[in-house]
Amino acid sequence: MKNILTASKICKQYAGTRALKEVDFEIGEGEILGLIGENGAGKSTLMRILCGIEQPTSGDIVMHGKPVEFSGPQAAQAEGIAMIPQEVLLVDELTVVENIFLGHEESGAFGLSKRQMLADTRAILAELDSQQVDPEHLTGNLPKGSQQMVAIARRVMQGGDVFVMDEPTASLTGEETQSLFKLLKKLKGEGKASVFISHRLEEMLEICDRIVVLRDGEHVGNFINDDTLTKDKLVAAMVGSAVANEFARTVSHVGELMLETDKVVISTFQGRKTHPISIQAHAGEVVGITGLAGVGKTELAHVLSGLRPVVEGELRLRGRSITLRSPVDALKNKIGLVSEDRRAEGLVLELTALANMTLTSLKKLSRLGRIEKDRERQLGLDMKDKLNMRTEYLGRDANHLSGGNQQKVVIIRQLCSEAEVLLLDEPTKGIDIGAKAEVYRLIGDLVAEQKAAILFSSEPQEVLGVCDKLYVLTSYGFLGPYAKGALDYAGLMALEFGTATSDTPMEAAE
Amino acid sequence: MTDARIIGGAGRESSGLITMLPAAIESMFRLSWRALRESWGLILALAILVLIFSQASPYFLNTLVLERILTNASFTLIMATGMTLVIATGGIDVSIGATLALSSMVAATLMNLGTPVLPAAMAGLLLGAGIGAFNGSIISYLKLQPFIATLAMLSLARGMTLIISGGSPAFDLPEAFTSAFKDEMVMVIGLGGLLLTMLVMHRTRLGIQIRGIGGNENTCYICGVRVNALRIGVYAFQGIMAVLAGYTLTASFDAAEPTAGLSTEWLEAMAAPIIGGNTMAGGRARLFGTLMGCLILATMRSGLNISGVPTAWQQVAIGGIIVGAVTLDVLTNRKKVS
Repeated sequence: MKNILTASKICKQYAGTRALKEVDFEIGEGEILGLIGENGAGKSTLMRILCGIEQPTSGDIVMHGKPVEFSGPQAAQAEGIAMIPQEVLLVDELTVVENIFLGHEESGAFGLSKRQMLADTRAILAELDSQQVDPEHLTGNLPKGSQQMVAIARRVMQGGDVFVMDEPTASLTGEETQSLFKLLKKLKGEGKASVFISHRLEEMLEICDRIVVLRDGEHVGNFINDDTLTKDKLVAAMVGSAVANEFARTVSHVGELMLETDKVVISTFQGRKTHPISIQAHAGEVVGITGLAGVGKTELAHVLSGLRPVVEGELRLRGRSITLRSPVDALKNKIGLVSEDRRAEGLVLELTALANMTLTSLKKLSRLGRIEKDRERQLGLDMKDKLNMRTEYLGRDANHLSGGNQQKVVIIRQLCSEAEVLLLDEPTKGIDIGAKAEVYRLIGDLVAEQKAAILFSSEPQEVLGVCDKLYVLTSYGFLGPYAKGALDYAGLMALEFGTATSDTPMEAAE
Repeated sequence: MTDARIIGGAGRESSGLITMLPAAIESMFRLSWRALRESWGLILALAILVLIFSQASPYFLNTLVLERILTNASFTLIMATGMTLVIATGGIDVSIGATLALSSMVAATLMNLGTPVLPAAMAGLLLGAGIGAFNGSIISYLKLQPFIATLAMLSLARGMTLIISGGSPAFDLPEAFTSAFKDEMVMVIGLGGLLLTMLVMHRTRLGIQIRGIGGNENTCYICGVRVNALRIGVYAFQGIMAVLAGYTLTASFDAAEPTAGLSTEWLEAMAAPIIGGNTMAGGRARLFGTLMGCLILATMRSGLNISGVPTAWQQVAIGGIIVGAVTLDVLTNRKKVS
C-alpha cells in the first residue's frame, strides 16, 4: 500500500511539557486508521499538527512523496488534509448550505450559484442519510447530532485526500454513526484515507483497518485490525498496565426520597412534547436516564435544574412541591447541574481550575465578603488528591486543561458545594477510560454521602454499569424504572430502538 | 451524483444568461419576501410614526418635510450601511464621526490649496479607507477589541482634524464638488451604496463569509476563509462610507467643519442597524432593516421637530426607540429558540 502521508519524529514542546515525543506516523491510501490513547496522550495535538493548526517543534511531514510544512490550516487543506474537529465548528447564524460551502462558495455568472449549492447540499446530506435536515435552516437550531452530520458533510464536500476526524461519533446516535461509517467506506473505495479518533473502542474495531495507540506523547502500539484484536489488548496498550473494572462501585445505603417528578411533560429542542415522565431519586442512589439522541435527556436535565420550564406535571423535593424558575432556584433547593457542554456552560474558561472548583462554594469560604485564599487553596489541594490531578493544574486556566481534567473540575465543584441532588448530563463524554473511572468513583463518593445522583447518559455500558436504577426515554414512551441487572446491553438497545416485545418494567422498589 | 461533484464541484460549466434570468428573478423575489418577513415590525412601526405625526401636526405631510426626512435618512444610511457590515463581523466602529471630519477637512484643504476636485476627493476617500484598514489591522493582528481600537482612532483623527484646520472651517469649495454631493445626490449615494452592498452580501461569497466571521471566527479560519483580510476590508469599506457621508455634509454646509460628525449623527449610524434587527454579537446583516432604522430615526427627528418637541427631548425619545427595538429583538429571538 502506498503511503499518502508519512510523519516522522514529530515532537511538540509546550512551555514546560512535552506533548509529543518523536512520534512516527503514516497513513496509506484507502486506509481507515484509528488513533487512541488516554486524555493528554497527545492524540489531539498530533491531529492539530497534521492539520496545520499547530506547528511541530521538530520532525518532518512528507505528503504524496514530497516534504511539506503546514504553516496554517489553509496550507494543510491545500495539500488535501480535511479536518473535522472535536467540537462541532459551525456558524450558528448561517444556514446549513451556507455552512457547508463556507470558504468554498460556488459562483456563477451572477454571483453565488445558490441553486447549485442547494442541490449539492441535498445530495451530500442524502448520502449521510440525513435528508430530514433542511439546507436552508439556521444550523444553530438543529439538534447536536444533525450539526455533527452537517460538519462532516461540509468536510467531504470540500474534498481532500486524508480526512481527519476527532471524536466524530461523540454526539451521533447509533444510526448516524452507521451512516458515517458507510461514508468512510465509500471514501476508502476512492482511495482516500481517514484518521479517526474515538473513545468508543467497539467502533474502532468495527471500522478501522489499523489502530495506533499513543501514551504520554509516545507511539506505543500499532495494531492491524484482524480477528485477533480485542478491546482488552487496546486498553492494555493505552493504559500500560492492567485496569480494574471501570464500573466497580460499592453499593451504598438507599435513604429518603429526594427528587421526584410526577407525570412531568417537557418540550424538546425540536419543540416536541415528551411522554409524561415520572422518576424518583433517593438519597444514596444513582439514577440513570438514558435514550437515543433527541428524545429529551438534556432537556429533562435542564428542567430539573431550572433552565427550562415544566410544561405539565409537578416536581417534588422531599415530598414538597417546588417550582424552579432559574438555576438559582435550583441551587437554593440544593440541586446542582453538571452540564453536558462543559466548555460553554460548565466552566469559566478564563478562571483557574481552583477558582472554577470553588465557584459555587465561595460563601462557605469567605469571611466578611473576603475570600480566604488559604482555605480555598487547602480545599483545592484536598480535592486534587481525590482526583489524581497534578498540583500545577490548580493554578492553570480552565481553558488549558484537557477535556478529562475539565470534567473533573466541574464535578468537583459540586462535591465542594452543598448540593444534595446532583444532575450529571453526559459527564464522561469525550474523556478517556482512566478519567471515566475516576468520574464514576466521584459519583460513588457523592452518593455515599447520602446525596442523590441522576445520571443522564447515552452510553449504554455506562448507565448499565453505574446506575442503581434506570429509566429509558424513547420517542414512543417513558419506560422504567429498571433495577440494576434487570436489563442487559441487548435489552436496553431493544427498548431504545423500540424493537422490544412488551417488557413490563419492574415496580419501583419501595 | 458523480464523485467529481462531491469533491468541490470544480470545472462545472456556468449556465447561460437566459437560463439564469428566471433564477435571478426568483432569488430577488425570495430576498424581498425574506426582508419583508424579517422587518414587518419595523415597517409597521414606521407607518404608525407617520400616522401619529400627521395627526400631531398639519405640516408633517408636506413634500418639503418628506424630502427632508429622506435626505436625513439617506445621510445616516451611508454610514449605517458600512456599520451594518462591521456589526455583522461582531465589531463596532466608533471612529466614523472623526474619520468623516478628518477626510473632509483634508479634501477641502487640498481643494483650497488649488488641487483639482477629483484628486482631492480621491485623496480624502483613500484616507478614509486607510483609516478603516488601520482599524481593521490592529483589531485583526494586535487582537485589540474593536471598541478600544476605534476609540483610539476617534481621538487621533479628531486631533489631526484640529491640527490641520487650525480650528476653523474650510470655506469656498469648488462648485463641482458641492454639486456632486448636495441635495438629491445624498439620496443617490445612500441608496446606491445600500443596493450595491445588498448585492455583494446576497450574491457573493463575501456575504456569507462576513456574517460567518461574526458568527464564529474560528470556524471560518479553519474553513480557509481569509478572516483578517476580510475584516480589514470591511473596516476600510466603513471608512469610505464615512468619507462619502462627510462629503455630503461638507457640500450641504458649503464648508468642511472641524467639528463635523461630533453630534448625534454618528450615534444614529450605529443605532440604525441595531433598530433594524442586527445584533452586536454579529452574524447577521439585515441591510433592509438598517434602511428601515434610518427612516424611523429621521422620521422621529423631523416629526418631533415639527410637533415642537425640544431637541433634548428628541434625544431622549431616540434613546427610548433603541431600547424598545432591542427589547423587541431579544423577545422575538427568544421565542424562536424555545
